[in-house]
Amino acid sequence: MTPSGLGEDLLGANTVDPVGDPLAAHHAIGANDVGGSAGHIASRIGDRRPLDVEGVTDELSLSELNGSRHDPLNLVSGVAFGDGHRSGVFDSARIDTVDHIGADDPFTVDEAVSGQAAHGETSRAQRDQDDDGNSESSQQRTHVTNGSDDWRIPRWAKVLIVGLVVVFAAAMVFAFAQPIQVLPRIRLAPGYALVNDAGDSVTSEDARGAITLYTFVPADCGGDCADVHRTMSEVANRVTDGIDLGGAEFRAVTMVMNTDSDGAALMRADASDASGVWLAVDGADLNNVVGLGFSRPTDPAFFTPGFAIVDGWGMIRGEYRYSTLADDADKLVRHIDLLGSELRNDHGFASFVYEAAHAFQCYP
Amino acid sequence: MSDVAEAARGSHRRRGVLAVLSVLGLLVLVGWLAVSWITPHPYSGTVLQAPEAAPSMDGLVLDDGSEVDLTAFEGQLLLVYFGYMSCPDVCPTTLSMAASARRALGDDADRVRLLMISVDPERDSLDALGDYVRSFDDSFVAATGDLGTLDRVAAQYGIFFGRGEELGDEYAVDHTATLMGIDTEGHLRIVWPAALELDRLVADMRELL
Repeated sequence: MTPSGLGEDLLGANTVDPVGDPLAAHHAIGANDVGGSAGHIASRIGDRRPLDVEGVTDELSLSELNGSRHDPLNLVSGVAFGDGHRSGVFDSARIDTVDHIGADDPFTVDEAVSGQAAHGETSRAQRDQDDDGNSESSQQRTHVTNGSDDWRIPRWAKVLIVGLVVVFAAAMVFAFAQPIQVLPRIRLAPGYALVNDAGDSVTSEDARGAITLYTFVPADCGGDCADVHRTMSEVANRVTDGIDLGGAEFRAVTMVMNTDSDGAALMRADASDASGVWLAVDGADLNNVVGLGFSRPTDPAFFTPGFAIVDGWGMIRGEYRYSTLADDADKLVRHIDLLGSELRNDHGFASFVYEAAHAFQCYP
Repeated sequence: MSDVAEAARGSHRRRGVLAVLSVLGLLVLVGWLAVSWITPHPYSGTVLQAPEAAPSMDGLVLDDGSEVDLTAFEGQLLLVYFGYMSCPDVCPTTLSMAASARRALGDDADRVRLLMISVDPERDSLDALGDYVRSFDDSFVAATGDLGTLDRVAAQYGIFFGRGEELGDEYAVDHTATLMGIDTEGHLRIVWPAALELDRLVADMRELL
């Protein structure tokens, strides 16, 4: 059979290996007009899988077809194989049936083209007689695989889809796995203007830009506050020696309630581990700063150890009101380290990541 | 017939392309929404993650003589600034910036108000305060109170103030120069630093509205 129509061999002489009985293949050809999707056919044939076109007569049973162990051809149009020409392209509409044959695929018929059988048969019979001098009178139908629709998702689309899925999955992983943790921005720390144990004025503005650890102790606390003082000193030492706060200063401030500067000085002197700034808080400041500002009890009768971490913008980032089994110093150092990490990454793309951590409430 | 087959295949191909484009378009939209949701607005101030009701200003008096009631501002973005009339630089700069930002909001300008609280009640009378703030914008209001009330309110807003440098008979008042934003539901939401950029302030205000 000679390709006709465009007269063009669209597949290449070495592309196709006919399988099975060449005569059977020859007889199976229903038409020989060039047509169909050359690109599609070439892509299928390019797999170099042998084409297996069964020459089927009316006498052949469906079970024989269904029992075929041949690879599925999955061609939509055209059958490319040769009878010595090694390749050819044929119009699927001229083939009586377009079908899908696989090892386990059921036999089906493309009814849309079955009506062309008579025309195809006639043409084939004529060609058979012309080429071979013999006439083939038996009804033969060519069954080739009926592939799926001949559109595929382009590669670029696949890449885009995968990319979007990856981005979405990464966002979900970030939200649930919380690889980055931050301290929440709880509320504004109170503004104040107080006096330290040396009698000098100290204001909240002096702490701007620094990370400040506050604690609140009543005057004459004595031994009950020994652990508090020890914790403040330990945290101050560990933070100063071992944590990078991105250039920010660290301050430890002890607010001594119900006393003046002299009282604060005395208390500092009594403390075995006294470090940082000691401020005297009394009168209205006691209520405004400690009570309302830091939400701490101002009555010594209700004293419990407590701490607060305030960042350089005057935001309370941590409140620690009750003692827990975990060591206070370890917990405070760990949380100050989180704050330091946020400060070290407060620029560029990293800042967006940390803001996202706030948005997703990635809190310890 | 080849034309029919070709037409059929072409139709299949077009439907396939349309389906792919539709799916891609949907994915792009979902991805864009997800990214928008994930990426927070880059506020130029510090945002409180768990906003609480703005601290009470009970005891302060507005320039019209009435008591300050924050609930009267619900539904509006209320900018709060602590300053004083004799403030040489940062106060007029901040008020001017706020006025410009409000005007830049266009139709949304009516949803923004500013309350300036004077931390110098000795020299700033209510009438003078009203004239002062409305010289920047007709919508601005002012308030003040006695020192004790100012101490209480200012502390809760993270504001420090105190008598500063003496200049003959005059004196300066040192004070925290942050601008705060109380959202439309009465929550203290954001604290802007003293150094403001107009464009970013406008963007932040739009986001809060």
